[in-house]
Amino acid sequence: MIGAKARIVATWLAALAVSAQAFAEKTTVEFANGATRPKSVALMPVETTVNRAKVVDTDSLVDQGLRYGSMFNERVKALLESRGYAVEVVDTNRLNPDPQLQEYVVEATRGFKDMMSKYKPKKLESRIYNAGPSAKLLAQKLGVDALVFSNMSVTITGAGKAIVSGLFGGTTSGANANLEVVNGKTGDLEATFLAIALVTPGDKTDEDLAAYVDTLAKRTMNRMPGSDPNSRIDVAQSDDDVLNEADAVLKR
Amino acid sequence: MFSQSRRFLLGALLAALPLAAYAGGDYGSVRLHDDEQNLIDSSKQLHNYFEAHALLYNDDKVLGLVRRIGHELRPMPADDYVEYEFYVLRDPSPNAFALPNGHVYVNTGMLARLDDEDQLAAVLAHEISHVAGHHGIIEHRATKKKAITSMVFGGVPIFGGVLALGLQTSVYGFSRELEQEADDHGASILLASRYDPHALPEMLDTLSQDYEGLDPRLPTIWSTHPETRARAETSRALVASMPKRERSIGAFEPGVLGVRTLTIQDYIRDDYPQTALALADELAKRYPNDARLQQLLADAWQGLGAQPRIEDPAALSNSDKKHNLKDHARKTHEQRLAEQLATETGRAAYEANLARAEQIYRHVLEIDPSYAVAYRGLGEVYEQQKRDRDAAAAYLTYVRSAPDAPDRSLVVTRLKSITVKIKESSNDRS
Repeated sequence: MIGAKARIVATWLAALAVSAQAFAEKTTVEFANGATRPKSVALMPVETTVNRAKVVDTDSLVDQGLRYGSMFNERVKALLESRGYAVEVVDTNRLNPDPQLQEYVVEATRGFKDMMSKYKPKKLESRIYNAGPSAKLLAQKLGVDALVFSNMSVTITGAGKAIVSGLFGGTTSGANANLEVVNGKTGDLEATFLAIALVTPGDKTDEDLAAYVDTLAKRTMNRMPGSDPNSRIDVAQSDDDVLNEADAVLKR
Repeated sequence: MFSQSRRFLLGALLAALPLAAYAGGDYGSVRLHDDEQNLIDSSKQLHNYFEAHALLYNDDKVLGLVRRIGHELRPMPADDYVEYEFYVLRDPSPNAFALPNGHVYVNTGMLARLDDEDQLAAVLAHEISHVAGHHGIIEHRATKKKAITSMVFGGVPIFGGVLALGLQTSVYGFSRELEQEADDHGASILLASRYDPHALPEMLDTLSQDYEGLDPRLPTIWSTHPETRARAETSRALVASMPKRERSIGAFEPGVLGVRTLTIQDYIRDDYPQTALALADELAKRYPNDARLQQLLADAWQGLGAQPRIEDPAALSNSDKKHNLKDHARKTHEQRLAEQLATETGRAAYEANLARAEQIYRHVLEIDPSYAVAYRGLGEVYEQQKRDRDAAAAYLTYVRSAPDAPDRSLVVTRLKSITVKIKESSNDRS
């Protein structure tokens, strides 16, 4: 009797999950119309959590999280490049030999996290979210127009336990990813993308987890517009020109 | 940063847990249960996470200092899964933590606030006590028996959520009893060493300073983490009869000066200006002729924005502190600045803070006329004071004096937009 009821609830929940939108995005007007759309981006190390949840505890698989975070960035890089973006990936190979880069990444990440702790999607267009000067410095050091921060979470529950623990407020299996684009010149938050994926209960192989990462990367990028240089009006002026012009104006 | 608002949330959540009555730590050998090996594995993996996210602070002087003292104080481990290792994490919050595998991490923000090696020894002795007493494992055993849902902890962003449930109290604080035990045991470690046990209550006094006025003393928030002032008093009474020893300052100050300036810069960037100012003020008084440290002081005054300086945070009411905490957690710096500037007090404070910053930047140039960064500071102040021509002149001087400055192109961008403004206002006038 309990088994039958659980199966009915499982079917209902699965239908709900499939019918719910698996991705969403929010952008500033300027990002949408291309005015602040970057040509080049740098992908920050992904904040990834892979948890094997039990009813009252979790095993946090940190090393797997690091591995799948890198995989997520690789997938996102390929998808962005296919849409015309130049992409840098900030990984340990890039970070280890460069203490100044490490400093900028840590500071920019802190500024970003603080910004996101106050984030309300409906206020994105009013441009009140700024990741701070460290984000701008980091973008300048990397030579990119924008920084991309991502986080991804995959929770696996044991077979048969997911529905029960879900009903009583416990952990359900699932996967989601967020990706945010920060303007490298201004530090403003320009766009957020969200993706979710259904994870069935039960143990997962590496191939299974890789497939979830792949799905999340694709869904996150689903609504990412292409990098269209024609949409931007760039007036190139060298630093020296700016300084000379300032000099001239001050002498008047 | 592990902001006050996040600690507020975690404290509230921990307070909601039914707590076991602890018998205290176990300082002998503790055999791990099958499901506890994960705590040790997670501890090792967490180190990989810190490395991947560039959070390990690898300055030789600072790391050497922490490791030298840590290795002096550490006992022989009673278990083969414990290996005492000491690291510094790049984080401005005044925190240190120990994981069940013996890895001890001290934040740069903690080091920045300490006065001497003995206070650092007090921090490390406290953390070593958590490891030696197997507090992480004991707490894990007590909490997992309760009907806790991992959803409760999953909602609190700690190290990006990578912490296993059982490690979260290792990072954010154990129960009141175990923290007190670590204080007591830490004092006995200090007594047995060459360090001064009286440094322990001093270190706790340092931790209890709340420059921002964000620390409301609600019993529920801190019910699983003894209020730090109370801990300082308890440990002061404990060490009262212990001998006072001469302090080791020699290698400490040059070792941590870099971390002090880094932490002040971090606080300015992270919008904790009162803390930045308090720390910068102290440092500037100690080194009145150091252009770099005077510059930091000026930056800290600038960072105050439209807030008046809080001279005495202890005088703030709990309700003021609760309001500050909520405000800080929910609003961006720009939103708060706009609200403050809408008031007469805010505008007066803004004017006064910028004037003070300008005065100090000028003083920096008196100490060292070639210290180009002071011109950038002046440019920023003038820009906020709507003195566009002065701002442009200051930025121009900065960029020309420091052509290799890492933020050169950012300043050039600001100069460009100010030049446009000046031109437009001249056109308007003509």
